[in-house]
Amino acid sequence: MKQKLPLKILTGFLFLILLAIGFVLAVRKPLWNDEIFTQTRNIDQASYAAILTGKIVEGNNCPIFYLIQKGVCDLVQYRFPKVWDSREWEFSDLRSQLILRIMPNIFTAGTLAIIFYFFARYYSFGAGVYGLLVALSSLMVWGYWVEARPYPLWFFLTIVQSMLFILLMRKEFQQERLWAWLTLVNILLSLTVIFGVVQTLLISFLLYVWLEKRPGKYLWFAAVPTVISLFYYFQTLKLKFFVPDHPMNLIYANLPLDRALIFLFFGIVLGVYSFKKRQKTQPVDFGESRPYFVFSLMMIATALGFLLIFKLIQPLSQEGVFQLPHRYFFYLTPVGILSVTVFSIYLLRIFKGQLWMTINCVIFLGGMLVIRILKTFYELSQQGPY
Amino acid sequence: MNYRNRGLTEMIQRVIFLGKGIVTLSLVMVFVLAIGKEYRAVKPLWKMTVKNLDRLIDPEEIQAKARLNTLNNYMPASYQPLLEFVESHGAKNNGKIQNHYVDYYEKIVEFMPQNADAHALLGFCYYHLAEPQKAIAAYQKAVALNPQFFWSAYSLGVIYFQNQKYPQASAVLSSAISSSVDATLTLLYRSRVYQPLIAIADKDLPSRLRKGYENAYVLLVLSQYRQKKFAEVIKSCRAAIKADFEHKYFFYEYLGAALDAVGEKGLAVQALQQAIVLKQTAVSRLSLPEDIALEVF
Repeated sequence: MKQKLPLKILTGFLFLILLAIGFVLAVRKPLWNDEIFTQTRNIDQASYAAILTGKIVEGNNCPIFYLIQKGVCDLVQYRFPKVWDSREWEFSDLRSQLILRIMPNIFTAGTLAIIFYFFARYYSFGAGVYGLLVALSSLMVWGYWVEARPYPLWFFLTIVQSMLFILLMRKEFQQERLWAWLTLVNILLSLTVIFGVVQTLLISFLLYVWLEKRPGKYLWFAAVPTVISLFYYFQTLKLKFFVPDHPMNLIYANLPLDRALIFLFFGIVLGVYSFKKRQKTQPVDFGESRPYFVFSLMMIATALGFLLIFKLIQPLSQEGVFQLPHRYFFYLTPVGILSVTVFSIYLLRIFKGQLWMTINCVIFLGGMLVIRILKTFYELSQQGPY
Repeated sequence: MNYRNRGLTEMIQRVIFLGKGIVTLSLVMVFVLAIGKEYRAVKPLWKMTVKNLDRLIDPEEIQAKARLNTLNNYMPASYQPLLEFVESHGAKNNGKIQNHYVDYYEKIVEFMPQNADAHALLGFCYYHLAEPQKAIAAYQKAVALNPQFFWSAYSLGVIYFQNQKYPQASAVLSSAISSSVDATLTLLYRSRVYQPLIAIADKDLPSRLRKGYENAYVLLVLSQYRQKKFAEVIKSCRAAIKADFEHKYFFYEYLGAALDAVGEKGLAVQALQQAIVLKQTAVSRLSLPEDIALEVF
């Protein structure tokens, strides 16, 4: 308990610093086309009832984010200050930028602080710092930190969902309480983004395999979120997309190659040690990293599957059809952050006592992190004043 | 034997140790090189970021960037339809002029009200989209912002002349004629508004400009003559004759008529005789004043 309090205070300070950074970003970044569209068409012009019943003109019509934004706007009596011409790609207005980005900033800053707290509390302080650096070196985090659309909330809920899953798989804590929290997160996720149901179903499948065999436990946990998602899915706008020339770039934007390499390296180590374990030569405890590895692998496979489906069903003509954006695979960013951090921790744990492998691992993981930080800084600097 | 085995084991251990060292060093080298490469790319950007830290929140820069991105979104994919519209003097309109070009130039003048070239192009489009009042207002702004640019004043003069507003036409055409050819050409070549059009237009801009000056003189002389300002007609005709335009006979005709009107019969006869001679040898006939149209460049 004595150790937890300073950590909580530190996390609180960290949250405030991140919040301040977020507001600087909010001020520096004009509102852009999609944010303005969401605000003018689906928040200003839509009623609470229309939002709640999914009757809004969005590719993703799950209501929570829009309800929150409408609530904030009503609270401060804000309306978008001008009649918007859809070709007006960006709009700079300080009040709008601050008000519309309050909640996204809280979600992202909160997520980053939670990442630090989670790893610092359940692993080590160093792991907390490392996890935070991994998160901050993600280009998509900076790109969507203050986006006045559902992405920050999706980021927040995916991280919390993964963390609760990891804690459940550690089997050290009050399982019922964790289960209840995860159920709540699954329901919130299904009310945030339609794709959230895929995450929920994958987690449910893994928990069924590894932890909980009673089907009744999955009623609120998985069935209700699925029904909610289906309800919104059937009402949503069915947009058509074409897949760009280099489709893998959509994945790499969220899960860069350097992170995929760590993922791959851990997979090889996991495979080798699992094989050794079968031979009963060297038992190694991979703990929660193994199910999380499987979960991450399934998430990546799902992304590739969706990419393939989009490619197969894309219309022949690209006229009037949207290009599939990388943000549709945004869930890979939080999964990538947690995977890299958890796998890095476990790689160092596995090789504890093996000086040579530990040194190599530190060089490899540290090198990858520095490269990612530099690459992300480069990309952000190239984008101009924001 | 044991001694030999021990020696072999030690040797193998040394080789393994060496191998491990080489692997680790290689790993270090790979990362040093990779990080070095990234660092070299980032270094100037980092320096710039630190240097501009005091301008972390610069509303003007942010707004300028937002406006630039918006303008990029408005920017037409092709200028060919606009060029056809310009060259056909509004006859070829594929229906995209309003949405693709007028909206774009309106956005430019909204963000950059000092951009005379966008005002001028808007004036041209409005005129041929049957919005004469908006056209006059746009051209007036263009002339006020950039009096050195011949084509804006010329086009405004043409509109006034067509609307029989001769005093206004005289004033603005005099201003057009007094602008320098070099200044107009320089402004044309430097203008970011005209550049995309000039790039695809197959035109000899200096020749076009010379033709424009001749037309401006024609309309000026006619405007002054219709106001019965014969002294000014004489002055303008003499200036036009001095400029040695292709249809010099026209200016001799009006010089003669104006001289006659002010009582200079002898000089009038001389001018008219000169007009007859030149008219007989002229390669082409002058366009009718009604046919003189607005031009962009």
